[in-house]
Amino acid sequence: MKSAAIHHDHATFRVILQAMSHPGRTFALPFCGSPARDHAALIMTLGCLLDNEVTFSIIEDDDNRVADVISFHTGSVRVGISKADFVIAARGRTDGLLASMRRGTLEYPDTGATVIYLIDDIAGEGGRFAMSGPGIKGTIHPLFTGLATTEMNELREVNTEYPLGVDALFLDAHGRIACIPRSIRIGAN
Amino acid sequence: MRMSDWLEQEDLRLRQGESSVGGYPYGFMDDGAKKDIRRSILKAVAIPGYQVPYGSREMPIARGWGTGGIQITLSLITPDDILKVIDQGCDGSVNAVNIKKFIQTVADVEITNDTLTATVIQTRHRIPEEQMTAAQILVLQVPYPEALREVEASEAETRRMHAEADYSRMWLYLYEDIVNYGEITISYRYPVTVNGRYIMDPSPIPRWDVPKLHQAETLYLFGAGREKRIYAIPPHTTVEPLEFEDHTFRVEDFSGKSCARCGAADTFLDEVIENESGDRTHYCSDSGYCDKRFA
Repeated sequence: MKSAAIHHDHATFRVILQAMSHPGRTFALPFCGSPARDHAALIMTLGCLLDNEVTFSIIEDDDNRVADVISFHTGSVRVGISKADFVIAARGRTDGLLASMRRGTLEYPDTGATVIYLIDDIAGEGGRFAMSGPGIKGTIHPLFTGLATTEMNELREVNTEYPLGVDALFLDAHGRIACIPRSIRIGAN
Repeated sequence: MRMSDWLEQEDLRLRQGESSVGGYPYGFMDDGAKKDIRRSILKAVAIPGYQVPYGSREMPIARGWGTGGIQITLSLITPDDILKVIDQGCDGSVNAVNIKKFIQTVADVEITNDTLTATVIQTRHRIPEEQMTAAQILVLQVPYPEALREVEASEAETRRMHAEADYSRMWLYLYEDIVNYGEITISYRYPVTVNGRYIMDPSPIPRWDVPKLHQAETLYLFGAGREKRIYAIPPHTTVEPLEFEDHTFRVEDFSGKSCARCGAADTFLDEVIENESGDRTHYCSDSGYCDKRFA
């Protein structure tokens, strides 16, 4: 018999996996509330991925409050940007620090970092950059509102030496997610 | 973010009735195991064809019996899923049935034999005949994830070869095959190049199934529990079987043969030899598809 059980981590991960295997496309994370509660998308995402086996870092968290909450709830330890497995760009910008994040080694490219941008809005098509690669049929032009204008160029820059690189997740204030893994070619604007 | 934001979010679990299933945590594994596997799956999708090492866990069946596939399935399954498990194309084989029972017990999912109804399909050695969609995930059980193992025994060395895309010995192996036998004789585990970068073992699927990996609608996840590796082919990814200009890849030839049960002439066929008469008959390997046609 079917129970009424709801399994947040599983349902959330499925959406993250969908987003990672269909780069640039927008997906709604479950359980974020309507309208989405503050930081709901970030909490749900980190809740199903982070534990004490991995480290994280935050860009733009002046009072350490977010970092403390994440550490407390996941057991993950905050480290410097160049050492972190997950880097959270809390205001949609990395201020040039993308270049200092881990890109993995040729033997172990999976040790490259995952950067999580918190932005205002993921609005589907209409962006300036043409993206193509595994998971995308043809090309796609995702529009990320609230992402610093230089970020896409910098992301392209750190991902030029594939398979080395950084994988990007974008979370918006409405509980939506989109991904740009390192395998994606970001066309010139 | 305040501490209370997270607590409120966590609190939803209790109010919405998140609970254990059959006395086990949902999905059997502990949270740490599932998180490790999820992180590995995401990296595998981000680097198509690259084998991500992960901490393979003990399962209630022996390593080598599909534990890699089970761990992937358990880390991503939800109660809304409809699961199909096949072993060498068959829904009813002992291993497939027991894996289904186990996952149903710990993940509270519905079971089906219909490829088109399933949302998650776990498989050993076959890809279903019917075309799968973007909404579905195919999880393949993998005994030997390293395509280069035939030509190099050392893991350190194959890792270097992948790092440098140094695949000359693999090509030489294929060339020697042609010199000796006049064609490439690999029948299953046919090596492929994924996204123009990594040579990958597609698991022991027959050649027949290899073209289904190329520019597919569906996400393919590969789990090797004993060898502790996870890798992936996202949808719409270029997957090319290794071939030479004058010795191109070809699938098994079933021309003139058809399934003795449903009459299909366009499926991968198993050959059955009658003991007494020595007669050869053929049946669909994909039993779910054969049942559907026969009904």
